Amino acid sequence: MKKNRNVGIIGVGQSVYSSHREDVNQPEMIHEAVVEALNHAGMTIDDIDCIVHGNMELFEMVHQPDLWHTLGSGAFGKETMRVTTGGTTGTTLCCTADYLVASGLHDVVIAIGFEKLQEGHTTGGITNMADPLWARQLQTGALTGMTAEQVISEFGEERAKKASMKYRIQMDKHAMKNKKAHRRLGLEFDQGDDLMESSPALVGELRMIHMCSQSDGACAMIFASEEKAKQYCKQPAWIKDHITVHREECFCAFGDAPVVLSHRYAAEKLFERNGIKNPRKEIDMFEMYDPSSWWGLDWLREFLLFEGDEHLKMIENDEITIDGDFPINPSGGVTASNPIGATAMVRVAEAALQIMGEAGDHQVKKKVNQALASGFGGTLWTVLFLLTREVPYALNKSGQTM
Amino acid sequence: MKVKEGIHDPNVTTTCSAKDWIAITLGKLDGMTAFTAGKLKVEGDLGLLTKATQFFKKYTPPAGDDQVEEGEELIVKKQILSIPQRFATGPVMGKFLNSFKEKKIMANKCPECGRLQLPPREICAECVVRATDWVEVGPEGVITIMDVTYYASPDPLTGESRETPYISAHFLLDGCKGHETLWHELNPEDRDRAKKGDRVKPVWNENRIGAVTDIKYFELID
Repeated sequence: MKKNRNVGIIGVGQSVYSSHREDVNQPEMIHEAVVEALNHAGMTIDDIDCIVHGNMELFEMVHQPDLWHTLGSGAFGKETMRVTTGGTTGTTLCCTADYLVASGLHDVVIAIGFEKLQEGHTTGGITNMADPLWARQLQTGALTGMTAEQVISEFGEERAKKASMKYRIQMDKHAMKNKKAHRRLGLEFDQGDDLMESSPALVGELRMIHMCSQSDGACAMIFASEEKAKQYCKQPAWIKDHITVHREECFCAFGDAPVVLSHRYAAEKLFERNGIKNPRKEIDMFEMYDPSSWWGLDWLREFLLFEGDEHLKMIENDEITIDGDFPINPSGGVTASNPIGATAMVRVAEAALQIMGEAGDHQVKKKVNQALASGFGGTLWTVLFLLTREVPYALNKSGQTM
Repeated sequence: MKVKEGIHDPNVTTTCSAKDWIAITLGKLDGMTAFTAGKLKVEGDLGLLTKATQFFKKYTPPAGDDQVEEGEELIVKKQILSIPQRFATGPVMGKFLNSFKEKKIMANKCPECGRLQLPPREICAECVVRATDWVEVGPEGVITIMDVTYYASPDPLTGESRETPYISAHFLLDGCKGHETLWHELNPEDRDRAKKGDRVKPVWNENRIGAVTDIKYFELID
């Protein structure tokens, strides 16, 4: 691993997430996040060298929205770049900001991810993402019940359904502590059995209650070089490493094979090159891109490299709660808030806040020295981030790791 | 859709077809229009139901009825895009689609690892070689996994909500192995009796044009 400069996250801003942000237009909504991030970092827009902007164009059908958004993003007269990689856009924005600062091209970069899903048609947009020669006709949007079926067939209907509902209700309990979260339903665990029958079925055993929301919202993050980060921030969240993994094909990926192999592969590689032998013990918390509670529980196994039912036990034994031994999504996660172009960035932002100790009411109790954050996209991509409390690399003047 | 009685004590109960309900939630069908047309049956407090329209406020035209705070006029602009498109299939996908006209399903084969690709692709990305060989497979096979969809995606060709439920499924056609499955639909009427491993055959459309829709769906072989 060779890194030219250390990069720290020193500012996080988020708009309120909601199904309806008709009170603001797109630039105004982005502005909320940008202002909050600047205030958090103790900076003004004059301190920002470059702006990285991203979302999924096919949802709002506005091309080059960064041009429209200039007034909200503060990009006038500055270096700017636009990134769009589907569901992973938010994490790819973080990768891009990291590259721009680590390379030495810029000292301070703000990354902005947003979506205003009510202004488009989310499922229509996702369906049109599929290849037009075959899959578009067959696509069921972002909805699939296949993971639910696989989990049920492996662990039995009762255990699988209970674990999935417990995961979902736990995420709602976390969201109740996060004022920015979109869906704060106030669910109780004793409602689980009722909900798993009464919630409308979307696809197979994937029900409305399991699935993520469609949200409006924006997230902004400020990335700074080690020197600038230390100047502006008492405890930055440092970027130790990140990895992006794509599958080589999409068609068969939806077949009889496990749907997402890229998570496990990304985790194996990331842990290996950072000397992490037991991720469950060595990582303190995880903000996971969990589009549904079925995927959330199934992917826990993938990311933590389990083989058996350890992931179900973690849910059953309350290890993933905000006060638990391995907190998952203290923010409420994606089932609570899903402004898609921002969603993956929110994972990194929330993990960073946990390291900084500034997550407010949903701050985990334990000290977070090392945190994981993931992004996921319908093109079957995984982006996985590793953040640390300590400055990760001791570098000499030519940027070599000492 | 499965509806259970006795769990709750509702103030108002509505009954309508799944298709109409989805059309209402998408804002394609006005709830009041559906009611007057007899598509939506109501028992209980009708006044309460009119308030339910605000659940779907996202989809209702903003001008007119919505109550806006005094002194504040929030204008929301409504637009509908319609974009006719033409996609080139290329020779490999073109050969696959063209064979549908003769009711044949063709996979291409990697000359190195021997795996089949359905639909075919120009190369085997695992071996990084051109997949030049062709093999006719099926047309019969077995179900490997199926997804019963209750909530309709809009049909991308028409923009209309689909009839639900419909079944998206993967089939392991005769001559294929492992993960070499074909993704298509299963006859919705087979929903209650179909299960993994059941044998299926394609139902071809009379008028075949070389498209995914040439196969109407697969159905169980009795």
